[in-house]
Amino acid sequence: MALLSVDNLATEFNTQAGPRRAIDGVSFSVERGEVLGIVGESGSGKSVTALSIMGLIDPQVGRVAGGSITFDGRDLVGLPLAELQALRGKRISMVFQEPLSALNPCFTIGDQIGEVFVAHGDGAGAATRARVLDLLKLVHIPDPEGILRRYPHEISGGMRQRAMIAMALAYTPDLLIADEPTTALDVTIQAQVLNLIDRLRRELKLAVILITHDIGIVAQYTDRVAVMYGGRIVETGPAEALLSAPRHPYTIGLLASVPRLGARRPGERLQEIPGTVPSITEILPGCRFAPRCAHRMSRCVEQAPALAERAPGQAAACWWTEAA
Amino acid sequence: MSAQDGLLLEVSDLTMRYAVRRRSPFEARRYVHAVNGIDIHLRHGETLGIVGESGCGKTTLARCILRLLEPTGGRIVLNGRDITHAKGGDLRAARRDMQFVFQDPYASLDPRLRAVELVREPLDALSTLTRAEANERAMGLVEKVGLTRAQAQRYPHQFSGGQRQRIGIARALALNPKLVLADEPVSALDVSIRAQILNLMAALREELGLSYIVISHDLAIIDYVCDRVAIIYLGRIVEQGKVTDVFSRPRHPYTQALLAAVPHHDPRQRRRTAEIVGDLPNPTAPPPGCAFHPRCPKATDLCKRLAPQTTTTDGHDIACHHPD
Repeated sequence: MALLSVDNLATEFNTQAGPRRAIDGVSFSVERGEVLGIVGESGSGKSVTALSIMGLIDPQVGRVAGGSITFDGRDLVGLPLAELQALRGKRISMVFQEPLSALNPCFTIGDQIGEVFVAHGDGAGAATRARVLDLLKLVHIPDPEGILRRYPHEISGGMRQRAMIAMALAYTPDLLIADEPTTALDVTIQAQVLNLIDRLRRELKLAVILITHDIGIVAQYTDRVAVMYGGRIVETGPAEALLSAPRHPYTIGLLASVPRLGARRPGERLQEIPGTVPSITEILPGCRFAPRCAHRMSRCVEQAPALAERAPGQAAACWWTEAA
Repeated sequence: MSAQDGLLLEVSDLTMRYAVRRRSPFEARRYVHAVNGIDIHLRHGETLGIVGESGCGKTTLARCILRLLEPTGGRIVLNGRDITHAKGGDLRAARRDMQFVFQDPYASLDPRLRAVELVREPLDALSTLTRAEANERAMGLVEKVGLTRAQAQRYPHQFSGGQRQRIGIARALALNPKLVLADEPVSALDVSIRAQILNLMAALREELGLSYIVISHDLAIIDYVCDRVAIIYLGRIVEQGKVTDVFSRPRHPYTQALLAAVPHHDPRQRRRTAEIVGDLPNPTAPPPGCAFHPRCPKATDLCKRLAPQTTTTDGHDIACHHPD
């Protein structure tokens, strides 16, 4: 059985027009030692998916409205807070996009990583300090003893993100969720951080959910991919198959619109996807991509397509793909 | 050199240094050389890319060229006129010829002005057109960047990110500039929207005979839109030349590392590149000799002692003791 399986998940938020679903009917699974890439633009629901798994949707503004999140045999939806807190940071951890805003500026790096142990009842003290030091060594931070005493603003972005990863690994989790972990970093540092996550996946058999909008990162660092658009998964499959033979018009358009290094021919223009990403309040009974789709048929506007297998392990939610 | 040589912009030995705040009046003065002896030039109709990691000085360079900052050394010649220390009317005249497109279209537009007013603002400030003429010109520009006359009456919050960046571009074009500097023009936009803006910039360049300086950390975008590229490391240009030359045969180890760090879009070409180690050094205490030597795989004693001179062969500049 998969370590994590998300089934028909829907999460809604309060809007002026009433509750609206930011994600709807999202299903996927992740195995131990596997990297699942979730690709999407802002508003696609990829971060909401991650926050829903972590149980971090603020009940004041939103809630999981349907579906299940089964982690190691247990449904996380509706789990009492105390049980969720025992899992979070211990068996499921998350690395956020912007390490500077995810770290507390008032505490040293050593104190913040140590807090994970304190929160799970292991207390502070010399033993915890030694464990923190080991974690910093695990993520290859040079001069770990020095970094321990530094505040977040005193170290570089790459070092901060490593400290975040060290914190996420405090108890060697089974599942690591990384939400755009390198978007705020320079390319040379990005390579260091992604290679680190990949090494830890192999050494510690982590299951990883890697959320990104970068096609290159998907191609190099994921095993399987789920492409999200407008709160739904529109296509999913093995990374290699999906990137070389995408079936959904959105995936096809996205791959064609992204400039690739060394692929330019003189005078050539990039392929555009017209229009813009739909907002959460827009009511679209059919396919959410239909207003921007070149292959739109009348059925697309009326009825939402479900994911259906188009190639071994590869599924797309599209009426046009089905007809083709 | 002058305009007859087809040179729109010539920057020579440009230096911008900032004093570091002292903790006591008895401490020795120290300076950060954010831009340290940079030479670039731009022909009419040409696009130059500027690439470097955060903190390398690329934005300071742009601000000096636009004369938002007065450089502490070197020369900036625009269209045959020395504007390095221009003031008053001369500076305003120079500003008409060069305009800026900002990175973040959410932060750079006044939320209280309608789109047409935003585009008209530079005309009101720097042109001699009547109000009606200025309005008509602003409307024309709004249409030129792909928005409608009806949309021109809306406020920034009613537009998507891509549409806002179109307004930013229309605003930059209001005064018929010869040179447009764009600092990360698409990095704040959704991936599926980026192609629209890059294609718009390319179309406007052809139609209006513009020259661009494009600052980006995304090498694929530089590859797509630029004719030549300058790679900056810690305030100095380490390599400069035609994009096709520099990206297909990079000769400086830093350029090679940058290109190798970009994740390849083809999952069948998985490779774990030898990542470069370490972070950008502290600019207040740059390493002696070549600033890149602590991270360079080819560094020798010579690199630690002596900063390399720039050598040029076939228009390809390189500053390295051991180029490939």
